[in-house]
Amino acid sequence: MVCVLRVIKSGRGKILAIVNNHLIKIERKIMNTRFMKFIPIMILFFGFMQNYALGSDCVIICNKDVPENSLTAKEIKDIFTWNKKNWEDGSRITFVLMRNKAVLNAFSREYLGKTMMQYEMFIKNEVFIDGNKIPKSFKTDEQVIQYVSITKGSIGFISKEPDTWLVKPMAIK
Amino acid sequence: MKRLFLLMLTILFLSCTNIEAIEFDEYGAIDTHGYISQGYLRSDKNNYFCETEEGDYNFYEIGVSMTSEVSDKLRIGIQFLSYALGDFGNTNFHVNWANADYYINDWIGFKAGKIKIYHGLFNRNRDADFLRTSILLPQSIYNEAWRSTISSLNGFEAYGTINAGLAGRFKYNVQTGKVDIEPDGGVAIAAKEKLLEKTNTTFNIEYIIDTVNEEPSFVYSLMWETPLQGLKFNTTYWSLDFDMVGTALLQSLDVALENSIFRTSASSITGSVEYTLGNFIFISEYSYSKYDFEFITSLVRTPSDLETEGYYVNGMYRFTNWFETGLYYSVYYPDKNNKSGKKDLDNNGVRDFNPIHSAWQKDTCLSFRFDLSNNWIFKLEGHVLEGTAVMMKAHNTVDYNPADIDLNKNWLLFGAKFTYSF
Repeated sequence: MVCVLRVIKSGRGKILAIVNNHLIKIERKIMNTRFMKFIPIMILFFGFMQNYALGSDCVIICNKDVPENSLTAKEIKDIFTWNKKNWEDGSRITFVLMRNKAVLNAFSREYLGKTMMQYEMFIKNEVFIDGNKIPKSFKTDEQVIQYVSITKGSIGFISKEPDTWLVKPMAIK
Repeated sequence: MKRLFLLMLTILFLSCTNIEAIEFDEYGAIDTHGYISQGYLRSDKNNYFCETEEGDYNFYEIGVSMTSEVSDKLRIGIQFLSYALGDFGNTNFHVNWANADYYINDWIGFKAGKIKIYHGLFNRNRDADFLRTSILLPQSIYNEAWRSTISSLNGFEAYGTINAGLAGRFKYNVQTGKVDIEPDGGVAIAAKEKLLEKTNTTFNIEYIIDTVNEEPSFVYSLMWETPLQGLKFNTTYWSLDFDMVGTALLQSLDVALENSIFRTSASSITGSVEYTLGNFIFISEYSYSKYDFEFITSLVRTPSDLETEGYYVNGMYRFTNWFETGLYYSVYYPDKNNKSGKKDLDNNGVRDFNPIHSAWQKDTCLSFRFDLSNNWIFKLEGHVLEGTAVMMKAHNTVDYNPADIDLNKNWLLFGAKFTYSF
């Protein structure tokens, strides 16, 4: 052991050079492997993943006749998962969805603790197995606002504060 | 009947290029949804419920459901299903579930009719392939042979949700009613094979089932959604009693005994945990089942019992909107007190398990799910298996000779499946 240490100490420069040389060779070998050729594909793949994770804020709106002016995050989760079906006054809740992926993703992550795909799977499960009615979904904020404004007891979410008095923005407790 | 449904499906298929479903608004309107799923299974050795050694396409599901909200409180619905996995399944369109659901409040509601049975986390949606990552569910908990029997029952259900404040939320379901057991279905075949295992060394019996008489079953489910976001625990229990009535041919004595009864009393408890963290989902389930058998003929009365055990761990990760992968490891013991298969049946030296590796089944499964669009899904999966506990001997004989069983200990299974849902 002592001998080995002496050799290392005396010829440290040589050894380092040899080790360095070996590392360079190994590095070149790795660079030439098929694995490295897949790196651009992997970057694109994970880039797509990153894109999927991105989202934007959303605003909860409801019909003007809904008695509540604010809801807790838990109540919003309960409404959009069929666990709360009636408003305080006993009237029926109708929730609607947004088809815009960024908004739906932001909403489901923030209020439901699910990804958009997990939420879509959950809805299909409820529809096919429990016989729940599939919620209406719309492409744009304007369409959601229009539906919520004319449908009693309805609630939905949009991408930004509504600039209209036709619906009521719901405060979060 | 089948043609009518196929015609209906074709019309729906053609009219649903971009929409999610056919729907009409307000009360009394009907929501219609459906799915068509076609699979392919191939194994290097052993036949997995069908002719998988040759590659088998006889693996599909077609379902159509219709629901309507009659009022705020009352909803009615029906689902028709045709499915096959080799010899198992029901290729005729039959009622998969059909019930009236009366919701009183969050605490309590009732269902009456044909109701899907709670067993583990996935029994109720096992017919809808597009609701999960894998093609085949872990066989340690969701044995295909039992699929048709524990799919649904004709009876009643009470259900409700109890908010427990800081402790989270509890959901309960209690069901009672009768299940359908077909004389040529998976459960009847499995029970018959068990009967022959237990009695054949003495009498060399051939048993022909004429009818199956079911007793009322009892099912409960309790789910705890914990305050920790994404974490939930679930437990389910069911009991099932039935008599298979048929003719026992005691070949060694050259005697036919009519109205022989093979009585089965089964119960099963399953514990589950599911944790969702972002795109990652972890699920694990454990199931324990107990069976009491009694073979009653005018000559003999042979009681026996059996305890089975199964569990699995499953991880799934969704990489993108269109790609998800899952990996599970599943273990099943058809006799939990004889996991090695070496315990002797009796002093004759004849083992309970023949071949010995039918005393267990260990399955490692890797699945890939591709969501090609909102409606189309394609799945691929590979299984590395050790043991043959779940396999049917009837599907693995040499030249259809029941005495000459051809089962291999280590084998591979490959699956692919396309599904369209709307």
